[in-house]
Amino acid sequence: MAKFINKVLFIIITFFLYVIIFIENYFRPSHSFTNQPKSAYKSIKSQFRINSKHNSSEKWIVVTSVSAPTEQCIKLSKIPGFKLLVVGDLKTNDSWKLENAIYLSVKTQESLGFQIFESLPFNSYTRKNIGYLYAIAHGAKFIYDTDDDNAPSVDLNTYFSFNDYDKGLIYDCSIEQKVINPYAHFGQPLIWPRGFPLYHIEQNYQNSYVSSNRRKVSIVQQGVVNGDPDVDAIFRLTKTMKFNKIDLYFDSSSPSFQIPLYKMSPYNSQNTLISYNGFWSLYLPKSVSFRLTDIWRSYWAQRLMWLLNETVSFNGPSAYQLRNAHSYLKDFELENAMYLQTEQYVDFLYEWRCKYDTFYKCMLQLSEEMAFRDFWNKSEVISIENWIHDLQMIGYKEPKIINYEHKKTDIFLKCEHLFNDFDKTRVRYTPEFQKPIEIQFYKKDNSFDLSDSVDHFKYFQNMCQKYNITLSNKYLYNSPKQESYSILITFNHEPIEENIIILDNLYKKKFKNIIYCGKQILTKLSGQRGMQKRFDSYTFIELINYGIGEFHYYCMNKAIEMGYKTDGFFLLSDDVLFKYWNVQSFKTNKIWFPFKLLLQQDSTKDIDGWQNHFISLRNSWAYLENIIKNEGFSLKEKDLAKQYLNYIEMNQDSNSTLINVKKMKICGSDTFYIPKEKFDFFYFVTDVFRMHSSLLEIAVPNIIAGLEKYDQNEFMDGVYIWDRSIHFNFSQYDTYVHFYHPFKLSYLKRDMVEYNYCSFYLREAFN
Amino acid sequence: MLKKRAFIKIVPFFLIVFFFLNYKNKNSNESYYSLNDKIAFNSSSKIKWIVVTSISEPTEQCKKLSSIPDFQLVVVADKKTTNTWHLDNTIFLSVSDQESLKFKSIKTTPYYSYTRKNIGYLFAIQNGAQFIYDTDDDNAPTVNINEYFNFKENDYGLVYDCSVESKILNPYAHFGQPQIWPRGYPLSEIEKNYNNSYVSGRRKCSIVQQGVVNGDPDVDAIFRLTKSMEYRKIDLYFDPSSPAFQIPLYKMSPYNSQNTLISYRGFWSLYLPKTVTFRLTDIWRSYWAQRLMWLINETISFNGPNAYQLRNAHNYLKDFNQEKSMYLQTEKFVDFLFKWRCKHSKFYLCMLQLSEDMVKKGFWLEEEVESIKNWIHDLTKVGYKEPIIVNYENKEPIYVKCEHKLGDFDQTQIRYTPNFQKSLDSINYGTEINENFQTLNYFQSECNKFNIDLNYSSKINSTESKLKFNFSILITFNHEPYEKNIVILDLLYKNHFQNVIFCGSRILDKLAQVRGLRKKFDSYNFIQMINFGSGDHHYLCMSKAIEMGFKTDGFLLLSDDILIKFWNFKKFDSTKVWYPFDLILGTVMDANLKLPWVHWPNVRNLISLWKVLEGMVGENLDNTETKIVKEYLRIIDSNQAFVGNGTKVKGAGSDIFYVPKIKFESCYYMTNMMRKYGVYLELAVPMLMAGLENNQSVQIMNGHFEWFGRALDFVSLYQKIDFYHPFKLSTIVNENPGKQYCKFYLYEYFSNSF
Repeated sequence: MAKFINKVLFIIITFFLYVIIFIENYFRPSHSFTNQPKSAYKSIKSQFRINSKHNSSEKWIVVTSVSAPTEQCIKLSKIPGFKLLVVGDLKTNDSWKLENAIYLSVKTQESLGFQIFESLPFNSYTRKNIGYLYAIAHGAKFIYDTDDDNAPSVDLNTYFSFNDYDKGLIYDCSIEQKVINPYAHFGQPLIWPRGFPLYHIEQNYQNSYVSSNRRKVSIVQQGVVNGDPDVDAIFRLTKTMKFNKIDLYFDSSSPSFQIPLYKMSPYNSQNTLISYNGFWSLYLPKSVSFRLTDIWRSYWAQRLMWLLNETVSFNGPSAYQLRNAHSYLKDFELENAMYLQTEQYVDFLYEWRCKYDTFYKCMLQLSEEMAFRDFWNKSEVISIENWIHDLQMIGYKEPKIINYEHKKTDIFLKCEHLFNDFDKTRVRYTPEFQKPIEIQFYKKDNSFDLSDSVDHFKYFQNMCQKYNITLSNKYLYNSPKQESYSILITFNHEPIEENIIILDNLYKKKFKNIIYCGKQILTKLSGQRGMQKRFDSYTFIELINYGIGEFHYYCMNKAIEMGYKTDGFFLLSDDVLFKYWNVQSFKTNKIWFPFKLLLQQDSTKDIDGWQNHFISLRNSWAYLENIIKNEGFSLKEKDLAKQYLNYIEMNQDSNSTLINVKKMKICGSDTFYIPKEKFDFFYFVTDVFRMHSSLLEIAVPNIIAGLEKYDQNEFMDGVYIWDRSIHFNFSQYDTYVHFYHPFKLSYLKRDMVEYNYCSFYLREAFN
Repeated sequence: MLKKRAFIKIVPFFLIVFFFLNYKNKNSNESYYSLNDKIAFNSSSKIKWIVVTSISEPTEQCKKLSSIPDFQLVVVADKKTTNTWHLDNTIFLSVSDQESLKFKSIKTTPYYSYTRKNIGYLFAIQNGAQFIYDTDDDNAPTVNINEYFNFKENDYGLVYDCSVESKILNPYAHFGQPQIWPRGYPLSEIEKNYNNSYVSGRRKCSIVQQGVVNGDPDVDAIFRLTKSMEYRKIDLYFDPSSPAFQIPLYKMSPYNSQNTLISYRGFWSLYLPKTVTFRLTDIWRSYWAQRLMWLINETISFNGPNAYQLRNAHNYLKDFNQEKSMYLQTEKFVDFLFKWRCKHSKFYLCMLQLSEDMVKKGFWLEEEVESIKNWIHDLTKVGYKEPIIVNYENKEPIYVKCEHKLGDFDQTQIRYTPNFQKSLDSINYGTEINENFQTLNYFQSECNKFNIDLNYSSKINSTESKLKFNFSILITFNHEPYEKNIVILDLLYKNHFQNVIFCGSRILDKLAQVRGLRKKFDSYNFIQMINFGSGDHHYLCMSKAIEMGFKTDGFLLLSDDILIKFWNFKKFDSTKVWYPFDLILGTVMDANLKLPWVHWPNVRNLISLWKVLEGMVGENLDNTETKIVKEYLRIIDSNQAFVGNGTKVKGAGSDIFYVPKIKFESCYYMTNMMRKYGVYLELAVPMLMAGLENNQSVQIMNGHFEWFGRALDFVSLYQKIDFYHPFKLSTIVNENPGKQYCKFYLYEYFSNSF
């Protein structure tokens, strides 16, 4: 009997132990994720049910809509090359119809057979996930993610970059800030995007970048919008004024820029292009509030991008957004978790490490740990599992991990840019600061003039007052219109800060942008860092093997490479006295050059005094001919080389005595203007000439002679004084000449020069 | 055997002894004398108390607070404060002192909590306090608070206009910073424009008077997170000349427990709630108290900057978290208070009903009610009289309608605009508008018509005008003012005088379209007079300006049609009266005198006024009015041309005169008397001046009164005078005298002022 009781007792105890283990196992979140995820997604290649051809397209626009087709919806449906997909919800009435737009009613969504359908709530913005899947299933290579109240005012096909590689700005990864404020880059340092950590608002913006001739195009490209940009409820509550809509503008000339690995910036689901390699990142979490879902997605996605060596980039203003006022207090309540958690969320992401070597496992591990840390709800994990299952089902290839994290703890690859002019160039970029919101409300007031639009006038005022020359104050009433092109000033020697200040005051407000290029320039005038508009002003391009300016034409390549949106660049060295008011009649879509580019000089024979510099020209020409013959080059390169050589042929002086000898030109090249239409052409040819280290007096004329027929260029009437011994004096100063060279700014220290400078040059400049 | 059992008994014995000893000396390191000796020793029947809490050693500010004359500082300790805390003529209430006070509130006041201050309040009331200055140990006023605050029952000054529809008012806008908002201010109100209409007149002193502080004012965490900049302290300033103003019934504004004076009738409102976070307790108190004030017809008021506050930066996100419910609930809390009605006719019952209803709505927790019961019990125990309800809410119509009794002697409508101070954003980002620039730009473009260059471009660099007076200018309009003239006068004077005030009839809505555009404000200072005639009593504007309470060295009153070379006024003493004539009184005050002056018969009013004045002096009562009249008549006698034959008087031009700050009170009283008896301005003004200043010390302004309509001769007469009357601004539009106005007057103005 006792043995029997012992046995019974034994069974009860073991049963009891078993129950405990079971409960403990079931409820404990399984972070040591040893086995397959619970409902292991089945990687099936099953034929996807709907494969009707007529709906397939490479570029898609995905929006959700609860109302009848909005005006912006109609605009979106008309964008060439893009297919509009509208995802309906319970509230949208199913007779929603718009010509060349596909509408997915809830019923159609269900019929698509996506597993995610079960885990997505109704009356929720996150139904958009089904739209993404539908587009991917129908051959999408690019998805433009936006809303039905936001239509771009520019042509999307030229605004975004659709190829794998391009050139342009990358934010400097050596800056210690983790989260970057894109609005500061585009000229509004006083405001911050929705999702930006509150604690970062007070910090100054470090405006250092690298310009790269070859960068991998970001899988997510977000464009900012003018008018009422995406800001959080705190901004709206504290910065708007009654009866006055937010009407903010960004610098339309600002180049786009890429966020480097191991930095982050919140982006939303408006005006954003996602390419094929980034489709996995489209998933909108359903368990966070509507005001948070795209922001939480952006941080989650950027952390996973580190594994794949992928990035996000931001582009200048491409739409005007109007939002009707609603209760910002309600938004404040919905965004509350964002204000309190963003800091911890970002810190958590920086500490997190993926334990796996396949991408989707990492995605699930991250999603689970976020649930464990309450950054979102546990139900999110199942929904992401469905998402992955559906991606597999429609044939989306799982991304391959490049930067493995499960082997070493220090995942942060050393952030080093390999610097040399042909790879990365260090740049300090400052946008044209736009009117801050505080001042926007003053503008309607009468003749208010901000102090900083008068400062440069005061600067020269003081300079000339010594000789009691007063510059006429008419300038203050009708300040001249701003040219649509930018000015690029090169320095042969290390620039003197005083000269930069003089040039800046001279050209500020008169040109779209002022860029300075030279060596040892980057840290000049950095004393004001953070004082003014949280920014360290001036835009500097720092070239390395620059000598004493023999290759200063290469600055033009760097400016083009940065990606400014401007009509053209007027390059001049710092010792050119430029009378820009005399060239206002020139066409900005033409090349301007101070000499006639009719090629007359014999390129085959060396002339003494030029030693073997001609070889660099002959080698460059040979290299270009080689590009046409040899197949190692892209079609585009071959075409450009052909065009170049044709123009060189066309510009040969037909009645020159040198027959069947290739003629060329040598001349002064301290100033010339390249329109945006010739940017790529100039960039390609100049690279070749720079590779062969061709001297500027040889390179510039012979590059430009290959870009256009010589009589199509605007002819600049300038005065070159070759004889270094005679100094420029104002006796033969002519009012209608376009420029004088050289006019060293250091001359101003000599007697009477500053007096003449005021009475002749500045008087003309300021009236 | 025994040894073992005994041993067992001894051990506990030792334990008890050891325990007892330990307990004893914990007690003894109590401050070396008991509570009662402390009270007797320190409080010499002082009626003004300062209550602070402190958990650290006596701070610098604490020392300052303890040495303010007529004020008794009491410091309420918490468990963390060391018991050896000591500061001469300061009462230190240690935790055990507090317990020995036998207040019921002790049981319901948590430790390590700011709300222990409630015990300090009760202690002060128990010991005869009539006024309590509520502040913190890191904040000491830089001015003498015996003058700064108002300790009287009634006074005169600005009351916010109750007909304006917004419920919550932003005091920072009134003091010149419309872009910032105080902690506790509802977020959805921030975007609204500030409606700057007030009334000026007699008013009952507020039971709560709060002073704003310069430097780092009390703002919420959202402001600090979004507006402060790295490496930069918040350093903001308010307009020092702004008058104090009172919040009318049925309006509210959050106030905190710093730099605030509470008078006896308001002691009930001192209670700090314990079930809300530290960053919320004084704000919730302020809204709760203001709703109850409506029952007893009491108000709060705000006063200009009187201290410089420095705060060391700390984690604002933590504050943000602590203030979270404030951001989300303030709107609902205010709406609830405006809809709430008291069902009782006893004040304390209403207080409890409100506190219970607030629990139901979740604005604070259940334990608050019991704590408030104890608070009421202790108040009565220390002898505090329960306030009597005046506006019953359980009987006839609830709200007393908001109507101001308008009449120059009752309340006058005012549009007050402060001198806007540098906003935080302009300090941080250099987007400062140069005020001078606006003036330079305007007058140069006007004179461009006659192509006269005021060599303006050489002035462009001056950001600060080199001519700055510390007194204010008061411009009166006899007829309805033209807007263009207001703009010209404002641009001419605003960079050089502390305030520019315009006074006249039908002036209030002039230039109103500027409302809301610039800095959320409607600019200019306007005093709207009613029975103003064609300016025959324009001297009453002076008493209105004084009544408003500007903090300025004096007022220079002039009519709009006077040309003044104010850059020549630097030589006058701004503590004396200025007048264009001497003050020798030579005309006998007799109505039957045949004088060529058409207004002389009005002297009858002066005579009847004189009888009243002499009657007052006869009664020889000891009140301020009699003192003022005695002094006035003394100075009149000192200015008599010769003795005998009755009081002599004088009639003279009165379009320009200056009254210094020290003469404000008597000037205010006598001007009102002159106006009551309808004395004509060219009699009233000279008689006023002659009663305020002796002829030896009056500053005589050299100018020209043109009675025969001849135009001003710019070439000769203009050079010799400091002012000219009349000079109609409307005439400068056309060539003559516009060109000369530019060539002589404006040119001289530019070279002297910038």
